[in-house]
Amino acid sequence: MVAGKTNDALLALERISHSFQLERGREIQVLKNINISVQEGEIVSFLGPSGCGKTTTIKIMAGLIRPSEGRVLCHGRALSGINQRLSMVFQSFALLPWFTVEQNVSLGLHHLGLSHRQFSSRIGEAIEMVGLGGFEEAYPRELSGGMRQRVGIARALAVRPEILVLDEPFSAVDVLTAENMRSEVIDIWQEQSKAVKSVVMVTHDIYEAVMMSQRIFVFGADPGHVRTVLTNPLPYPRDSKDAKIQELINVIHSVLTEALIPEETERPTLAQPSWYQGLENLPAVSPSEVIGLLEVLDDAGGKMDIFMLANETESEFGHSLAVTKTAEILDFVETPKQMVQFTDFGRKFVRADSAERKILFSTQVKALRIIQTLLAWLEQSPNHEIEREAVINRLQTYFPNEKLDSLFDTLVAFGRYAEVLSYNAKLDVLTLPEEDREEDEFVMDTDVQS
Amino acid sequence: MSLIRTPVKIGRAFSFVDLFLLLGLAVVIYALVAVAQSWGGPYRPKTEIDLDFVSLLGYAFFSLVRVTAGYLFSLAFTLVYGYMAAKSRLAEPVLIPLLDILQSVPVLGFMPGLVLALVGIFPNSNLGLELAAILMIFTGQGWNMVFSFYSSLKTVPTELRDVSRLFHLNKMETLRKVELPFAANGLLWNSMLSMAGGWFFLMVIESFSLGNKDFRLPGIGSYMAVAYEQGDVAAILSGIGTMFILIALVDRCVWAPLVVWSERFKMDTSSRGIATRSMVLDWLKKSRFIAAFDERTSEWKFEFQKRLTKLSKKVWKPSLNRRVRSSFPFLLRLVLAGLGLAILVYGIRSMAILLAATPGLVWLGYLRDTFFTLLRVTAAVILGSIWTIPLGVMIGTSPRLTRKMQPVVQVVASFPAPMLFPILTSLLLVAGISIEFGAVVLMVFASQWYILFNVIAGATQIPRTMLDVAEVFQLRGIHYWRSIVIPAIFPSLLNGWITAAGGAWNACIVSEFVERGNQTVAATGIGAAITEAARAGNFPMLAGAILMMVTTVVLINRFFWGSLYRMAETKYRFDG
Repeated sequence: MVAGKTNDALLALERISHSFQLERGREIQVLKNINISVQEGEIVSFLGPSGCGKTTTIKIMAGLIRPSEGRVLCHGRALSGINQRLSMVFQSFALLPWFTVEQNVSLGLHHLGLSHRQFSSRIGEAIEMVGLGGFEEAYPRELSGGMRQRVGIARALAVRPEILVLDEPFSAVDVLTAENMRSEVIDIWQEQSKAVKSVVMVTHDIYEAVMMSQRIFVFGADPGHVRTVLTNPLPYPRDSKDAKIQELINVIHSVLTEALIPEETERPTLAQPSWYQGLENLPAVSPSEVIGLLEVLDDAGGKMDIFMLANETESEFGHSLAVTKTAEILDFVETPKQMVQFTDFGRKFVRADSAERKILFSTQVKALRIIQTLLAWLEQSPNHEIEREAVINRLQTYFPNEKLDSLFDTLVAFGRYAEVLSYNAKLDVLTLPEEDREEDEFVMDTDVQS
Repeated sequence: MSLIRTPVKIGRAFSFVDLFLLLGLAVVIYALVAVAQSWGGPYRPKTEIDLDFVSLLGYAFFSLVRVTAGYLFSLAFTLVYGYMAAKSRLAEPVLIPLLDILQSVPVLGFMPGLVLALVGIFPNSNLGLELAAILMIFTGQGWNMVFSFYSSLKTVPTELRDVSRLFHLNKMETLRKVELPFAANGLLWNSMLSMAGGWFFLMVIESFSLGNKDFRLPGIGSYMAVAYEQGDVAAILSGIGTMFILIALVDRCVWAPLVVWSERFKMDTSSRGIATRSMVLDWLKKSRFIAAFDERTSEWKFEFQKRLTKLSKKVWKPSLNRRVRSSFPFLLRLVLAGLGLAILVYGIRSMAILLAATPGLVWLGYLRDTFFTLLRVTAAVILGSIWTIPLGVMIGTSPRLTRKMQPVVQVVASFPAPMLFPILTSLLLVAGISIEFGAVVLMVFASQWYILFNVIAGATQIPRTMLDVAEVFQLRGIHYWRSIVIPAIFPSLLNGWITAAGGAWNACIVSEFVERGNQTVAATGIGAAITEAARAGNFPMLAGAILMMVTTVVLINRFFWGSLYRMAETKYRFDG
């Protein structure tokens, strides 16, 4: 597994675009530049209105459709043909009405070359898992919608897939049954001993997506694309009355009704509920610009209108906004309404001499969750170094659709300035600073001296 | 997959059903031996037919074997041809139009070639003649099955295709587990039609003249021919009765259980069912024998299936497949295409030589004959529609009537009308109707059932809510028909018309030329021309007449029915 070093996602879609051929040579684009990765042990969902390419996306994951552009990586290897590690549950069940429950469940087992005993025990196990015991000899037409979908799930589980893909699995099932089956799917996923590592679910039901998944890819249409990704780290079982759940639902609502993220922005930004503490997305500004801003603010008496500030720094408004945001992330300033003013920490920073400033700045950078995450990755990786591409790939999970090259450069700039990261531009490798690696105990000393 | 799945009650006594099964088995074995003896016996082109009743039973059995063999051949042909047409992008554009042409060639078109070739191959036994008869039966029944199977293969729902790919079913498994079951219902209904088609031309096939030679095979068709020749009323009636009983038996013992069994292959359960129980199937379920067999073999079946999967995995190794496909089969395909082209060129050349012998005046005559037959076919379809549409809608919209009438209609429709033609012709002549018009009546008998069948099928599929709407809004008479019934049944009705017209064209060879005793009555028409040319052994004229008819039928199918069909597909559809 050479490729595993660069990408540890179970499954990754890279720059996938897809077009269908219509009659008379016309083409219709259904997917545009989709970047999605599925990590081990997570439940993700694809949420969006119908016709936004969600189903096409999972069919591409399954290898049922070859995308027109881009590639599918399975454990870092390019997928060709049907994805062997993935199994699927269909919206319309797609059971074979002429086979019994047992025969339907056994459908994918024949080619595995199992013995009669293994074969039967696999079927029995899958049927038990979905609570269909006693219905082995029944035909699908004798079963209710919910029961039929259980057969569909058992059939998918019987082949012991690593990734279980569910295509609007409960939309043809009555409301109460659906509620029940949602928690059953989570139970199946939580049973760590079983083969299923990750679950991918397509849905158009916001509630379902919020209750079931850890990451929600919100799709937009014409052509299908990912508008934003929301993270929901709340533990299972989730309570639908939880205020956080409600807030997340509201956020998604606003995204879908375009209140939060207007559709015209080519590059979707991240929308998250206030309680979510994700990784900070550092705008593309340099550390010196941040310090420059603090100086300007200090000259103005520590408090300034943001428009004035932009005027003063003679920079484009958007950019000075980005600088201000970075200063805010680093807790140097706060921005009540249109004002920019020093925090206590900020005031302390501008009063300090350059050596102290260095330490203070470094402390703030180290406190960033994104930097901590990078440091943790470095600690875990062999030789304490990671290639640029690998870092970007991993960051993709947190910031799909961001220009990650620029985020990476910003991170390197801040990390170097704070002397917590080192970067070899020749080899494109991110490392820990030399001293840091060899003489841990002298870190503070060197910091102070330089 | 087993036919019957019932939990076995251990220790159940041997039931009398088992006794029946054993007796039946013994009879079948004995009869097959008799058939083998007859087929392998010394060459006898013209069997002497005994008109006594006991011989009649034997003849009936011989005919049954012949028609069944023809059907089995059709089935095998269907699976191979239909599969190839649906799967090979290269073969499809050739095979489907070819099928269109083949199905419009009347049985007599194949007769001389088949008989002369096969009798030539087996000059010393009856085998050649019997095989020729079986193949002729096949040419009268095989095509609709192929069309049905082909269109089923083409319409397997995408999600089932996805399932079969996702769960790594290879081609063999996909065929066995997905495609064949999906096609089963269509195949079954078309099998019943084909079987009826086999009976239809039995008289022509079992007893015919080619040039100055008479051929006669032992069978109920020959029996009827001889009975009419000798004017033996008792024999004629017992022949008709036996035929009816035979068809009813086949229907009850073979088709009815199969129809019930095939319910499971239906994709939806919404349409009102036609048959839900079959007495024979219920009996079979009681058999201790079958149950025990079923139980005993379950593990073997698993092992067998496993071996099969392994084997087909080896045969269809994807990597191998791709490699092979890229290099070697290209050559193979080239050779095949070349071979096909060569055969085509040769065929056209010999046909041209044959046709060049036909003078221009004869062609003009054929043109007139074809026009007359076209008029008759049109009249027959219209006449047939007049009573079948109201009756079909009545039966189809009432579940009770559907259950009661469907089996009756099936048996009546399967009865080979040509066996009644001599009687009908006499009646018509007595009534002062000449064969020129009388032939239309005969054609109606040959084609009306297709319309009735299709209308019933269409009417059973009218959504219940539609009928309720009609009742709530008190739609009656013309309004009811115009706004509910006709739009709802139109696609099936069109299907019925196309099949009926095809049937009428094919039946023209027996309706425009009827033997009554020793005299023959012929109308002006291409069917009569074909029959006369075949009897005279005039092959250039036979070829010319058939070419004329086939061209006409194919053109009408393409342009007239084709455009109607497209209209039906876009305009009249219930989508949800």
